[in-house]
Parts: sequence; C-alpha cells; structure tokens
Amino acid sequence: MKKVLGLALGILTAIGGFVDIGDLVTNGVVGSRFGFGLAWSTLLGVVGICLFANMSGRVAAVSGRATFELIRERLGARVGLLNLVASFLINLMTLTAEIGGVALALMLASSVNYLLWVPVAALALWLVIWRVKFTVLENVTGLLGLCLIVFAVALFLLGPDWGEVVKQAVSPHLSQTESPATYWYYAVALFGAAMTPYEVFFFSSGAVEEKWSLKDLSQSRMNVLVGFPLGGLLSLAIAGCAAVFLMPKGIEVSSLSQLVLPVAAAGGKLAVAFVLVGLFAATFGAGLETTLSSGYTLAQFFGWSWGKFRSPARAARFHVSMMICLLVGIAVLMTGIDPVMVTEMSVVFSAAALPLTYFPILVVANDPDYMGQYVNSRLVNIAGQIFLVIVVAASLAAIPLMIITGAGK
Amino acid sequence: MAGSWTRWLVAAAAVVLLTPVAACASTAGFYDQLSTAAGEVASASGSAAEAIDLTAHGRLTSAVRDSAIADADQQSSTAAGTLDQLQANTTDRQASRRTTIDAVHRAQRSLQLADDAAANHDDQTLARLAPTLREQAKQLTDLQDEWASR
Repeated sequence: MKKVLGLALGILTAIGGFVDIGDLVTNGVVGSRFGFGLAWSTLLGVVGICLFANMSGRVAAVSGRATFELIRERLGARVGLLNLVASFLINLMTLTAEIGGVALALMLASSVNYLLWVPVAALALWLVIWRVKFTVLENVTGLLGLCLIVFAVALFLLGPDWGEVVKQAVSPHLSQTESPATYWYYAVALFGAAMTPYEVFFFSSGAVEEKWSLKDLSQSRMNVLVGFPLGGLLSLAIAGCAAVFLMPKGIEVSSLSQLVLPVAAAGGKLAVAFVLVGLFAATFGAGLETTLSSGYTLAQFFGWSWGKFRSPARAARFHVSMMICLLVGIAVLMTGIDPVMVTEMSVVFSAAALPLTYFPILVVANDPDYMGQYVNSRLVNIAGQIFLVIVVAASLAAIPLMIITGAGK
Repeated sequence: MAGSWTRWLVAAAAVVLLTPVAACASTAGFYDQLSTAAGEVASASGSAAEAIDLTAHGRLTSAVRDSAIADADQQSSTAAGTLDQLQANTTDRQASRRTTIDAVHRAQRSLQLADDAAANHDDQTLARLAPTLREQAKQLTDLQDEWASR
C-alpha cells in the first residue's frame, strides 16, 4: 500500500510540477494566436522530455551520481564547461522568469505591483531552499500545481467544437496577420518550453538527493512516462482555453492576467481561486527547481560538496551560488524588464542550447562503465538519435527565427 | 588553447546578449508595424473590456480585473509610443495612416481612464467604458486586418 501511495504521489507531483512559467506563457500566446495549430509541437516536446528525463533518471539510479557530474567526467572539462555555460545562463534566465512569474501571480491575487513582490518571492525561495526538506518542497509545490487542472475543466466547460479542434490540430491554418516565420518561431519556442534543460538536471540531481537505487527504477519510469504526458495535457489545456475563448475575440496573450479570463468565464470565482493557487505553485515550484539546478550544475562541474541532504554549512559554496543567482534574478527584474518577455526569451534560448544538454546525456546513458547492463536499449537509442536530429534543427532555427520575426511580433 | 576557449565563450556571451537586441531592433515594414500596433491595442482593449464584464457578472475578482486593465494600459502605451516614433520618422501623412494612429490614441486614452477608474474602485465608470473599449477593439481589429492585407 505504501508503495502504491508513493507511486501515486510521484506521478501527481510530476504532473503538477511539469508546467512552469515558460509553458504557461508560451501555450497561452500560441493558443490565442494559432488556436490548436501547434499542438503537435507540445506533443513532440513531451515525447522528447520523457525520453531524456527517463534516461537521466536511470543514469542517476544506476550510478548513484547526477548526470552533470558524469558528463564532466566522461566527456572532459572542455565539453563540460561548454555545457555548463549554456545550461547555466539559460537556467539563470529561466530562474529570473520564474521569480517574475511568482511576483505576477501574487500581483493577480493582491493588486499590489509585481515589482514589490519580486524581492519577497526571491526571499521566500531562498528560505524554502535553506530550511525545507527536499521531498517536502518537491511534493507540496507539485501537488498544489495540480490546481492548474482547472484549465482542463474550463476547456470542457467552454464547450469547444471538438471536430474543429481536431481539424485545427491536424491541418493548421494561418490567419491573415500571422506569417509562416512566426508559426515556426512559436513551434520552436513550444518545443523549447517542453524540453527546458533544467528539468533533466533537476530530475537526475533530485534522484541523488532522494537516494534512488536500482529498486526505484520502476517508480522513476512511471513518474516520467505517466506524469509528464499528463502534465503535457495540462499545457495543451492552457493553449486550448486561449484558443477557444481569447482567439475569437482577437485577444492575444501578453500577460498572465489574460490567461485567467477564460477560466473565469467558464468557472467563475472559484475556478479563478484555483488558477491563482496553481499559477503561484507552478512558478514557485519551478523557481525552486531552477534555483537548485543553478547550484547543482555549478557544484557538479567544479566538484563542490552539494545537495540538500547535506546541511548548508557542509555545502556552503552550493548554497552561496544559489543565493547569488537569486540576487541576479532580482536585479534583472528590478530594471523593469517585462517578466513575460524574459520568459519568451528563455524558452527560445533553451531551444537553441538543447543539443548541448541532450547529446551528452545520450553518450553517458550508453557507457557500460557507468551503466553496466542498464545501457540504453536499441529502440531507445534510435528514438534518442531521431530526437537529437530534431533538437539540432530546432537549435539552429531558434535564433534566426527570433531575429526574423522580431521575437514573434 | 585556453585563449581559443575564451574567445568561444565571449562569442557565445555576445550572441546571448545581442540576440534580444537584434530581435527587438529588426524592423518590419511600415504597414506591418501599423498592423501590429493596431492589433496590440485591439487585444489590450478587448481584454480590458472582457475583464470588466466578467467582474460585473461576478465571475472575476476585482484584483485580477485591475491587473488585467493595468496590463492593457501598459501594452497600449508601449504600442502607441512605437507608433508615434514611427510617425515622427516619416514625412508621409496619408489620411489612412492618420485614421489608424488616431484610433490607437483614442483606445489608449480609454484604457488610461479605465486604469484610473480601477485604481479608484470606480465600478460605474468602468461599466460605462466597457462598451467603448469593445467597440474600439473591433475598429482596431478591422484596421489591423486592412494593413496586414496590403
């Protein structure tokens, strides 16, 4: 019974923890501009993250070490450094976006300007990381993030023509005001949002924090293969609400407040309360994950003592680096830069750096010195290589498309 | 060797820093910019009107409504500012362009009034403004389509 409950908890937290500010914003924007015409990109990203998160979870469970640590050891300091620079900068950008997301969610609940909430949000993130146990912070934010299921409920209450939904998803049609370049720009952004690099670093480091071993492999697999696709459905529901309610009214999502309108129209104030809790939990949870991921990547590259299972005094550099990252996030947001714009940039840069994250994982997962008999199967390798081709194509297209479209304008 | 890595890192950092600047600076044609600005303000007016109506019907909290109106006001000010700069840089004063720019400014003023009313919790003024905002959103959407088709 305990094992079943543990499995259910793992899956539920994986669903609730799947959506972050990048998914919220990008799916909202895409739904309001392209309807269901880019659902395929989200689905593709979900398959990719399942494939590689499962791989990195297996690496951590078998070797007892985090993916990033092994990448540096297996591929050498130079490749490790390149991976570190790209992952760390994108992670920092994502962390900044998540702090902004927490502040925006608090603004929606309170009407107090988000800039006043930014330091409060960052302080709360630091306090939780400093004081709260890893499993507690992961489970509480993941479970509260399940409140975002209200988007799926709202989509059903809005009563879309499901035949039309399938038609839009299967044969996308561009409106007069959209160009093929913006369509592909947002396809890459959605893919990048679903496959954000911090997710695999957090997943594998989390496995070490929770001391996973071979007997936890099946739970890891279930968390990824059941929890992430259901989380992906949440992303589709967010896009769906925007497509059904906002798109016909000509409202393009450019702020979190607009994301709430379809939910309010469908379910009233109770649904709004759920969505506000969900937005806060999703961004706060992702804020914790990105803060920890910043510390994990730096500590694992430089060989510092790391982990929340150690007291802060025994992992001082790990904790100091996270504090500095939070301060950088506050400083960037205090310039008045739009957090939604930071989010849009972060998902596109994520897409651009994807090969640097995912290629080394594929290499390590195939190394018998680390994995023994648990190296990738032939089928997983074929899927991994196909995805690497897609990831490289998205990576090469991301920045030129950003410039051509003026960041999707 | 270390020097070459430093160069690569500096180049990567330059790409990261300069890409957003290049993306923002990449200018579309004049018609596209008119269409984009009209679309942004139409979207802002539409979402503010929707938030006011949903709150009036008891489906949305006033805190979310106020945030939605403030966001819309901010978005329209940015779009109108871009348009003003564009207009200042051209000697052409065609009437059709003037119509779009005037419509954008009218909607922007309405959104400013709505933002002030929301800050003062003046529900009556907001209720009066909602139909105006909706009408302005429709007019701007038509203008957006018109410019996009040219």
